[in-house]
This record gives sequence, structure tokens and C-alpha cells, in this order.
Amino acid sequence: MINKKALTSEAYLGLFLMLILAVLGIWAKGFYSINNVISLLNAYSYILIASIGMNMIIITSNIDVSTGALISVVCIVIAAFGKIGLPFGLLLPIAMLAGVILSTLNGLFITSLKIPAIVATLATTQIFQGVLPLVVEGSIYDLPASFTWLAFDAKLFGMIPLSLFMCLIVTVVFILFMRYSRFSKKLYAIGNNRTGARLSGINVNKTIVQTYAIAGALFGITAVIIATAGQRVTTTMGSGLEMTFIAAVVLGGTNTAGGSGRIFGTVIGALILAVIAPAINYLGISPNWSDAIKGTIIIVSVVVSTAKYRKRKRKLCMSAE
Amino acid sequence: MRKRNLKKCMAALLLGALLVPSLLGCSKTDTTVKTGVDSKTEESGKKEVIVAMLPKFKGENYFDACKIGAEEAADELGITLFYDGPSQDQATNQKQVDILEGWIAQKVNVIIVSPNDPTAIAPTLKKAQAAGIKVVTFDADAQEDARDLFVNQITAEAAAKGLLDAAARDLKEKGYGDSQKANIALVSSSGTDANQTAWQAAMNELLATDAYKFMVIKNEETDVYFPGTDETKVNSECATLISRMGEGEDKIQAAIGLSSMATPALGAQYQSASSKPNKDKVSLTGLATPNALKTYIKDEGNPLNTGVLWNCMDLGYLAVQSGYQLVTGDITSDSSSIEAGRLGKKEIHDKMCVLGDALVFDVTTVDGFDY
Repeated sequence: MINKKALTSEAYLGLFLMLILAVLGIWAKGFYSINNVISLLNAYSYILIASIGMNMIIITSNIDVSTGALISVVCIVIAAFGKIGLPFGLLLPIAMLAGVILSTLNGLFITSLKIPAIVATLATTQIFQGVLPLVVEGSIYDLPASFTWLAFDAKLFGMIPLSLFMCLIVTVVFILFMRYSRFSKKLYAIGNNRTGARLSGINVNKTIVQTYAIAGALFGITAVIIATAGQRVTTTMGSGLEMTFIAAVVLGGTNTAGGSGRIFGTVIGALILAVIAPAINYLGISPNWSDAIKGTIIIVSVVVSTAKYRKRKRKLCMSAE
Repeated sequence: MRKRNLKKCMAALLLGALLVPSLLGCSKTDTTVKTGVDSKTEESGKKEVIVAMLPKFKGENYFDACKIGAEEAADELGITLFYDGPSQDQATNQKQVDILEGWIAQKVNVIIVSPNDPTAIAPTLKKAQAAGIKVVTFDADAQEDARDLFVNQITAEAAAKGLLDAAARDLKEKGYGDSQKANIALVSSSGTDANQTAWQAAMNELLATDAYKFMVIKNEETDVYFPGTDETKVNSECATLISRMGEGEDKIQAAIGLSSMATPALGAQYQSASSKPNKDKVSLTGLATPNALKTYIKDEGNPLNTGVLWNCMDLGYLAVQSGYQLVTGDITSDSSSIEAGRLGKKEIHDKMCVLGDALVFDVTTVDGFDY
């Protein structure tokens, strides 16, 4: 019964997305040109990959606001390796490893020092951002062709960017993983009732650290896509992106209190967010509206989903009586 | 027991992480400290002159090139040069003020600054002047009464003309002209930046004249982009712009980058595009350092064929020269010209010294520069 309800909430979101896409089809001339769709999907792919990681963290009733800064650090790390000519095949694992290390650090701070996730990751945000300017002077530039290979040359069938393909693999793997693995059940259990989870024999701290580590690997993949978009990598490549990721997750119907939410919702949420900026430009509206529109969509969607959540709860209470 | 150890470890780690930056900070703040003793200073027997240079931000081709010129002048004059600035993401007035306060306390002789905010920085600059420090602005100006001299790389008119000429030349080669109009788009910076605002105004004036009126900005709202200084945002907005380019009334035929971040991003996003607009029908150009555009200019499949700039090294050189001469008294704010070392004589009008015209580089000349 509850399952069905959750499905419909994603269906609503899907319908909303269709509506946006239909409106764009009618009024935004040229929006569906191959070039625009692909460049849009490229931005979508890096938002989605990291949002999936964020989704897992939020399900455990934690959060990570250091993601943007973390991605900036990883970008600089791979730029340093890219500068000496390492190929993409090595940059990707390096980025994932760096992401895992930094994100695990977050997880350890939260669990072993018992600091609330938002405070711990706020602190690490400062550390990540603070260390960067000391190591590099603002940016690493004039990067070689081997570095930009992913963005410039890696096209499947001469058309589809490899980054999009990577996103597809990650998404499918994680949808299956979150649906069928035992590990994912632990995440929902911890998010719903931490004490209950612990009493039922789940090693809560270990699971949370593992979750951060997995998310870190995904942040690493996102960092690679962002960093290799051009020949210069600045110390702020990821700045502010954490909010986009959190927004995609929330928009996708995941409750920030944890314990619920599906990857599929995030898939749609991220797509809506990725569509807005280019859509506004194509519709001939000033880009200053972009953030305001994004914010409005998020508020409306959260209000709607909380209202439904309350209703369901009330129903459950009533049937219990 | 294990748990307690772990806690200790974490605490130590946290402490370490906090300490490392402060240690690193000590060793890295003043990037260039040169203490060359030149014959000139010995002759005059004066105390050592300290010139402190503050760019909008550090770590980007443009200001790095200015720094090279500044170092050259400092070596030549045998003076000490401090060079420091905010990192790119923190290119705010507050960060600049923090650095300036430090220099005022250290009693440097002259401050050379490229302000991020012309008015907000003024009180600090006035404070420096009150402390007997000469203030020179370079690259971008501050409020006029807060500095002794502005070393301007280029007038807004010359910059606008350089940019539009580069675009017009390329567009004409591709068959546009009075009989076939071309829609153009601009990628600016944050929208509050003094330089970009002045250039855009000057461009609008030129676009109204006969020679340039075949180029049209159709909709100021959507065809002038203000992505700010965030690389990721610049990239994604340029990607959208590239996808709007192509042949036809409702497409855009030429994109001009007004910041040294935007122009390379245009080249990169064209390179990344899956179905690229026909390179023989669209044009990309804009401000950037030659090194940042080299790849795209040399790539025949990329419509980015020219870049526009001024000589950045000369700008840094001229700024340090004029700062030094203000201190020694060789020039004052009211002088009408300056003898600027290897650059020769440069005129000064209304407390402003202009370096020269725009420098347009293309595939034949791009290799001649190294910044």
C-alpha cells in the first residue's frame, strides 16, 4: 500500500517534468536541438552522479554540505596529475580514491567524534576550501589535451558523451543496489530509527562511514567530469554544487529526516534542475530568474510531499485506532 | 580503549589539518620578495623602496603575466616587490582590504592595486594615502579621489573596438555583412565589474555606427551572459550559448567573451559539443591570454580564430615603473608624461596613464607570446 503511494509521488514528479518538457517544446525554439540536449545531459550527468551519493547519505538521516568543497579539492588533485600527462584511465580511479578518502574523513568525524553531520561537514568545508589556496595559486591552467579527452573527444558513436554513459551505468547499478542489497536495508533502518537499528544488530557507525565512502567515490566521478571540461581547473570548481545535489534529492521526494526516498526520484529531480538554466535562456527570460525558479519548484515540491506524508500518517493512525 | 584511541587520533588529525594551513601560510604569503641592490639606489643613497602589488585574484594566466612584468621592472629598479592577492573564488573586496591593511601596517612605499570593487575599496586606499603611501590602480580603476594614478591597459573605446573588429573581420570572411546581419552574444563577467560594464557600453555605441551595425544584440536579457567568476558556471552557460549558435534568424552567429575566463570556455565548449554548429558560419572571439586560447586557435575545426588582449607583461611593468617614480618624485599626479624604462614615454591625462591599443592575435602570431 505504502509502496504504491511512494510510486505515485514519483509519478507526479515525472508528470511535472513532462509538462516542463512539453512547454519547452512549444515555446522554446531550438531547445530540442541535438547539441542543446546533449550539453544539457552532460550537466545532468555530473549532477545526478553526485546526487545519488548525497541521496544515500540523506537516507541515513545525515547530510554532507562539504560536497562542493570536496569536489573542488578532487578537481585540483586530478588537475595536478593531468598536468603531468596522466590519461583519463588513471585520472578516474585517482579521483574516486581521493573522493573516498575525503568523504570517509567526514564519516569518521561524524561517527567517532559524535558531531552532528551538518556541523562536521561545515567544518570540513572550511578545511577543504582553506587548504586549496595554500597549495595552488587559484588555478592550474594550460592543461594538456590528454586532460580534456573526456569532454572533447570521448564520444560514443561520435555523438553520445562518455560522461553520459558513465552516468547511466552508475544510475542503473545504484538503483539495483538500493533496491536489492542488504546494505541498503541497513541505510533505511538507520535513517528511520537509529537506536532500533543498533539494537537489531546493525553496526551503525561502520555503516555510516561506509556510506560516506561510497558517496565519496561518486563525488570523485562528478569531479572528473567537471574538471575535465576545459584546460583550466580553478580552486572553486565545485563551489555551491552541494546545494544543487541536496535540492535534487529533496525534489526527488527523499525526506531530509532520513529513512525514505528512492534513487529514481533523484533521477527525475536532478533532470528538472538541469533543465531549468538552459530552458530559461531559450525561453528568453533573464537568467537572474533561474535561482528563484529553482527555489520555488523545490518549495512547492517539498510542501506537496510533506502534506502527503502527513495525510498518510494520519490515515495510519486512524486505522490503528 | 580502542575507541578512545581513535578519538584521540581524530582530534590530532583535526588539529593537524588546522595547523598545516597556518604553517603553510607563513611561508607563502609574500610570494616575491626581491632584495636586489641596484646601482641606482646606492647612488641616491635612499632607503629601500617597497612596492606592493595586489591583483584582483591570483593564479590565472592574466595576472600571472602582469606579475612577470612587475618583477621585471622591480629587478631593473632594484626595489622590493610584494605580490599577493585573494584566490580566485575569494576575489572579493573584503579579502583585498585584509591584504591592504597588512601592507599599510608594514609601511610599504606604494600600493598597486586592481580593485574588485571600485567604491568599496576607496576608504582603505584613502587610509593608505593618509599614511603617506602612494596608491596606483592598474587593470581596473578605483574611485578617482582614492588613488594617485590609474595605469589603464586600454581605453574602453579601444577595447570595444578591438573586440568588435576581431568579430567583424571573422564574420565578414564567413559571408556576413550589410546584406546579411549577424546576431551576436556577449559573455561578460559578474555584471558589477567596472571594466566589463565600460566595455559593453562602448560596444553598444559602436554597434550603432554604420561600420558595425550588421552585428546585432537581439535580446539584452538573454544574449548577454553574466556567469560570474565560477568556472563551472561559466562552462555551463557557455555550453548553452554554443548550442544556440548556428545559421538563421533565431540563432546566434558570433559570441564574444569579455573576460579571460569566458573566452577559453567558449572554445572548450565548442570543442565538447556533440553536434557542433558549422564552423564556417559562426565565429568565436574575445579577451583572453594567448596561452589560454592556443589550442582552439590552432585547431582548424574550431571557429575561435582570434583573441584580443593587451600586453599584460607591459601592464605590470608600467604599473611598477609609475609607482616607483611616484615615490621618488620623478613624476607626480599632475605630470603629463612618464619615462617608463623600456616602454619609452607614455602620456598621462587626468591622472591616467594609458598603455596602448588592443592586441589581436591569431594563428600566425599566437606562438609569439608566452603567457
